[in-house]
Amino acid sequence: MPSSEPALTQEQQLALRPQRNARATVLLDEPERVRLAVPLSYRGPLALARRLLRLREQRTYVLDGLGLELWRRIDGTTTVAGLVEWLERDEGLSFQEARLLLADYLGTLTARGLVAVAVPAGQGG
Amino acid sequence: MTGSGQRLAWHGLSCTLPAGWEVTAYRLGEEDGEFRLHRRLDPVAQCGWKRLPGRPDAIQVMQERHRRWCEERAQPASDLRIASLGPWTCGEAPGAPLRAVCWQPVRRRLVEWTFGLASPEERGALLASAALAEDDEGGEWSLFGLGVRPGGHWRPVEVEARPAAVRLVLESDPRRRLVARRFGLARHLLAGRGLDDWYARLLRSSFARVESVEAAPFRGHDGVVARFRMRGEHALEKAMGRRWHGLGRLWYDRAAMRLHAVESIARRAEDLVEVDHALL
Repeated sequence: MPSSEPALTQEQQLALRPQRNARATVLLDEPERVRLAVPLSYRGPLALARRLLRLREQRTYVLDGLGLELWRRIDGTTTVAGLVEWLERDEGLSFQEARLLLADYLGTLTARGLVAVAVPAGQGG
Repeated sequence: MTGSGQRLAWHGLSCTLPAGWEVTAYRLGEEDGEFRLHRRLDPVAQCGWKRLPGRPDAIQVMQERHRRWCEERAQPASDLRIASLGPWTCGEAPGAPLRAVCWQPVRRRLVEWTFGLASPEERGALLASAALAEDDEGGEWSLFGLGVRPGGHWRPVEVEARPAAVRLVLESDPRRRLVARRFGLARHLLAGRGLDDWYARLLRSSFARVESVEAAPFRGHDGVVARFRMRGEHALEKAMGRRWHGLGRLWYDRAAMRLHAVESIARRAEDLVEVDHALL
C-alpha cells in the first residue's frame, strides 16, 4: 500500500524551511514565554453547527524554554539544517541528537497548528 | 577527521569511535547484535556480532558478503585483498567497503566490522582501539556518551535512548542495580534550579524517597550526592513495602552543557556500588 506521507531523503528534510502559521496570533509576548492562539476550523456538519453548539473558536498554547527559542528562530527562511546547527552550537548537542530533537519539536508544533513545514513541489515521494 | 570521539563498549566488544561518529541504530543482544554508525548523514560503519555453532572460515565469510554486495549493485565480483591487522582479518576490494572479522572462540561469536564512508585513517584508528573480551566480568559498558565499569559481573537490563536523554540500567546479583544517565539541554532542564533540587525531583520521578542531597563537586564540576530509598520491585517486597537502598551522584559539565548522573540501588546497603569508582 503506498504511503500517504511524502518520503523525503534526509538531505531534503534538512533543506526544508519551517514557517509560522500566519493565522496564529500572539496574545502575550514576554522574554520568558509566549502565549499563542490558533483558530480552529471545523468541517462538514460541525462547521454549520459551531455557533449553535458554541464550539471553541481557537486554541491557545504557551511556549517557553527551548520551544520558545525554537519558535523565535522559525522565520520561513531558516532551514532545518540551520536550526540543527543552532542546537549543535548553542546547546552542545551532537548532530543526531539535534536532528532528532528538532524533528520531535517540529512535529509537535506542526500538530498544534503553530508551524507549517511545506514540502517543495516535486520533492514528495 | 581522525580525532577520537566517544567510547563504545558492549558485551565485551569495545573501541573508541573517531570524532563525529554516532550510533544511529542498534540491536544489543549478547548473542546477536549490531551497531550502525553515521558521521552526520554519512553511513561510516556497521559492527555486527553473532553467536555461531562453530568457527566459520573468516575469508569465506568476507568473500560471501562481498559477492552479495557486488550482486546487489549489479557489479562483477572482484577479488578481495586479504590482510591481517592484529586479531582482525580484513578484506578489501576497489570501490567496496572494507570488512574486518574476528572470531571469539570462548563466546563462539563472530564479530564483523564493515566500513562505508570511513577514511582509511578512521578505520585504522578504530580497529587499533578495538578490543574483544571473552566474558563480561569487570567489563566496560559505554554507549551514547555514557560510560561505566562497575567491576564484577553485570548485565544490561534497559537502554533508553532519546535525543539528549540517555539512560542505561545494569543489574547484577545479589539484587543490585546501577543506573547511568546523561542529559543534554542542561540549561533548559535546570531552568534556574539548583542541582540539589533538580536531582531530588529526578529521583522522585523514579519513585525514590530522597533522604538527603548534599553538594559534592566531582572531577572539577559542580555536583551533588544523594541518598535515597527505592521501592523494591519484587512481588513480596511490593506487598511488604520494602525499600532498597540508593546512592546517587549528579554532576554538571558546564563546558559540555551536559548533566550526568549515576545511581547504585541495592537491596542491602552493603551491596551498594561506590558510584565514583564505577565511572569511567
